[in-house]
Amino acid sequence: MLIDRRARGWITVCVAIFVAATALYIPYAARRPSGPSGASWPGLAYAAVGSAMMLFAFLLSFRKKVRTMHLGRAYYWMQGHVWFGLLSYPIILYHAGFHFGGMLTQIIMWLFTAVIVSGIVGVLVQQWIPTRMLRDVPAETIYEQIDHVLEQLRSEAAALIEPVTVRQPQEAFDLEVVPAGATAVIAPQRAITGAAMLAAFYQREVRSFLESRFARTAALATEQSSNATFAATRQELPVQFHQTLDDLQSIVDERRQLERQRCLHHWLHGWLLLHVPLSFALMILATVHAVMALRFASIGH
Amino acid sequence: MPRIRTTKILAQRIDLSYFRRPHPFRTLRTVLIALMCLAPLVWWGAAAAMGHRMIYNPGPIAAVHAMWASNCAVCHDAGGTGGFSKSVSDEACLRCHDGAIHHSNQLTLVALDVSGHPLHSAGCAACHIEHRGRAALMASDDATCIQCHRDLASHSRSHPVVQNDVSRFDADGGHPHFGRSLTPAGKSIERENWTDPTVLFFNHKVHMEKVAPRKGQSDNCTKCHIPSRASMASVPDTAPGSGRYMQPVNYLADCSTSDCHPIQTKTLSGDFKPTLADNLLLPHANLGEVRSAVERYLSPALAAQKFEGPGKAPAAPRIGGIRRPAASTPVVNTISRDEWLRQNARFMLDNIHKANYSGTPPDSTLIADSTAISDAYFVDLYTAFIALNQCTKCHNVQGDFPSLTASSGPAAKPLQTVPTGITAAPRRWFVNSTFDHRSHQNLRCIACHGSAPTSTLTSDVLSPDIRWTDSNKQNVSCADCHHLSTSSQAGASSNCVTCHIFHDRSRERLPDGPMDIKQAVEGQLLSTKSPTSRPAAGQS
Repeated sequence: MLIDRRARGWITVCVAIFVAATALYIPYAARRPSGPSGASWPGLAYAAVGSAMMLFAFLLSFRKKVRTMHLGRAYYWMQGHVWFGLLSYPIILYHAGFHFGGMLTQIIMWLFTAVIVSGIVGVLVQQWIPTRMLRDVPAETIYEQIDHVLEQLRSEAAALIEPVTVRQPQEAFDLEVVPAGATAVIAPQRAITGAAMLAAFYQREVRSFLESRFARTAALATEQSSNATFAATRQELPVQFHQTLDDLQSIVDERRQLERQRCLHHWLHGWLLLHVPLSFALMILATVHAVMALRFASIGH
Repeated sequence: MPRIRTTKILAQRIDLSYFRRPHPFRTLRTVLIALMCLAPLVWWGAAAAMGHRMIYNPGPIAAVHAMWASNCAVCHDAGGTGGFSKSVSDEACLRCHDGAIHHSNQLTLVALDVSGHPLHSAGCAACHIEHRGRAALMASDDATCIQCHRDLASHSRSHPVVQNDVSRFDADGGHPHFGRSLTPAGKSIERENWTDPTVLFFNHKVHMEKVAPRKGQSDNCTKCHIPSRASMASVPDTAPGSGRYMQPVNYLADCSTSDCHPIQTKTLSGDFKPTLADNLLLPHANLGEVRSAVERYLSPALAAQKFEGPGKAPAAPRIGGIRRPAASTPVVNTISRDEWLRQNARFMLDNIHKANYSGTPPDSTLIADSTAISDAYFVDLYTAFIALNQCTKCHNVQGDFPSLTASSGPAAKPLQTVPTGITAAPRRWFVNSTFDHRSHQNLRCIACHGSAPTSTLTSDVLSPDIRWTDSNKQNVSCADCHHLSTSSQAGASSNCVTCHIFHDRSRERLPDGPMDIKQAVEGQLLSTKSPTSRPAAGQS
C-alpha cells in the first residue's frame, strides 16, 4: 500500500507547505495590480518551488534505473514522488495565477493535469488492487511470466491426462480374460468409459481453457461455472479418476487466477502508459517554457 | 497423489532471465516514452525552424497590438541591451505611446530628468499587462491605482492636497469629495464651500417655475441643458457631439427663442418719441458691436433737425370752479434736435442708477440748456444706457461711463460686460474625472441636481457631491448604484477607471510621431526620437 500510517509525516509536511503557500498567495493575488503573474517575484518563487517538486517526482523514473546505487530508500522516493508530485500542482497553479495562458503553457498545464490525474488514479489502484490480488490470486506470478507459466500448466495437464488415455486398451484386454462375474464385468467397463469421458472432458473443456486466450463464455471461465462443471463430471467418473480430475481442476483454477492477475495487472500498471510518457513530455515542455519565459517576461512585473 | 503448490514450487516455474527479453508491455511503455519525448521536441523544433513564435505567446495579444503579434521583437527589445533577456522595455512602449505623467507630484512610476522634473511615466509593464486581455492591458483594476493612492504621501513629491488614503469608491470616506475646482482657495472641499464662478445673473427657481417643459417631460431642464447628439461613438469626450456632457447654455439658442429674452428697446425715452423706424433689435455681442448697431439705428434721427413728441397738455379750463377733464386730443410739441438730445441724455442719466453699475455716471443736472450734445456722445450714452438696462439683467458691466464733454476724450476703460466664463465647449467642473450624462439618461435631472428647483443664485452649485440630498429630501449617493456587487445586489461599475484616467492627456506630446506607415506596419523602429529627449512634462 502506498498510503498507510507511515505516510502521516509526508502528508503533514505537504499540508503545511500547501497551507503556507495558500496563505501567501491570497494577499499576493488580492493586492497585486492586474492580478497574479508568473513573472512576478512571488510567481517566480512559486515556479521554483513547484518545479523542484516536479523534478523530484520525475527523478523517480531514473531512481528505478539505478536501484543498486545508494540514493536513499525506495520507499521515501515513492512517498516523495506521490506527495510532492501532488503538491506541485497547486503550487504551479499559484505560479500561473490559475491562468493556463497561451498555446505552450496550455499544453503544459493540460499535460500536467493529465499526469496528476493519472497519478491519482495510480495511487488509488495501487492502494486497492494489491490487496485484491493477494486475495484473488494466491498463485500469482510475474506478469511477464504468465504465458510461460501457462505453457507449464498445459504440459502439466497433458502429463496428467496422458496415462489415462494410454491405459485404456490394456484395461480392455484384461477385461476379456477375467472370469465372468457381474461385479467384475461392470467395474472394468466403467473404467473404460470413465477414461474416455475424462479424456473427452480434457479435450473439450480444459485444453482450450489453458491456451493463452480463452472464450469469456467458456464453462471454466468463472469459478462458479467451473466448480459446477467439475462437480458434474466428477459424478459421472469412476472414483479412480477423481484424483486426476481434482488435479485438472487445480490447474484450471490456477489458470483462472493467472487470467485474473493479468486483468488486475492491466489496472495496476495500465495507467503508467499514460502517466510516465506524459510526464516526460511535460518535463521537456516545462523546461522550454521556463527558458523562454525567463527570456521574454518582464521579471518582477 | 494430490497436486502440491508450495511457494517454492511456484517460484521454480519462473524463468529468471525473463527481464532480458522484450515484453509487449515494457516495449509499449518505452515506445510511448520515446514518442512523448520526440513529439514536443519535433513540435518545438518545427516551430523554431519556421520562426513560429506564437507558441510562446502566453495569451492573446490585445486587438490594438494585434498587428505586431507575430513580431515579438517590436515590444520585446530588452531596451536594446541585447543578451539573453528579451523583456519589454519602457522605451518600446514609448516609441508609440506618449506615456504622459499622472501628476507633477508623483514619485512612483515616473521617469525624471536630471533636474528632477517628471519626464514621462515609467514601469509601463507594472500596470499594463499584455497577453492577458483588454482589461489587464488597460490596467483597469483598482489595485493599480490603490498601490499609490492607499498612501499617497509616500508616492508624492510634496504632501498631497487631496485625500491621502483612497482605497475604494463609497460615500463613507473611502473616496474624497468631488468638486475641487469649485472650491475657492483656502476652503475645505466640502460641498457647502462650493461656488459656481460663472459671472452671470441667473435664477434657476424662477426659470423652473415659469418655463414649460418639453412635451412628454416632467421637468423643463432640457429646454436649456441639451447634450449634443453624437453621430459617431468615437466623438471625443468633450466634443459637442459626444453626448457625455451638456452643451453650455447659449443665449441665442436657449434664451432669446420663444420671445423669452429678446434684446430690443422699444422707446428711446418715456416722454419723447423720435421718428425712429423700427424697434431696435440689438446683437448679443460685445458693446462695440452694440454701439455700431445703435449708431445705425439712431442715424436717421440724428440727421433730423426737429422732433415731434408728446408735449404737456394745457391746463383744463375751470368751469364753475370745477376743473373739467382735458380734451382727448393728444398734444404734440415740436422741439429742436439739441433739445431732444439734451432731454433724452438727462433721462438716460437719471435712469441708469437703477442698473447694476458700480461706477458713477455724470450728474444729469450738469446738462444745461446750452450744453451741446455731440452725436458721438449721444450714441455712447445710449449704448451705455442699453448696457446698463438690458445687459445687466444677466451680466455684470464694468468700465467708465462716457465722459460728458467731448474735450474729456474717450473713456479710459470703456464699458463692457464682465466675461461670464462660459466656454463654447462643454465646461467640466470635476476636471479630474469623466462623466457621461448619456449613461444616466434614465434618471430625472433633479435626481442628481436636486437643489436646482430652489436655487436663486448663479453661485449656487447644482452639481452633486459624492453624497447629496435629492429633490425628495432623501440622502442619496453615487455609490447607491456604483458599488461592488454583493450576493444580494449587483452594482454598476465602481472601478477607478470608470471615472478617472491615469495618464494626463493634457501633457501629451503633439501628434507627430517618429514613424511612417511602412515602419509602423513592419515594426521597424527609429531611434531618432528617443523618448528620454522629450521636454519635461508640462513644458512646451
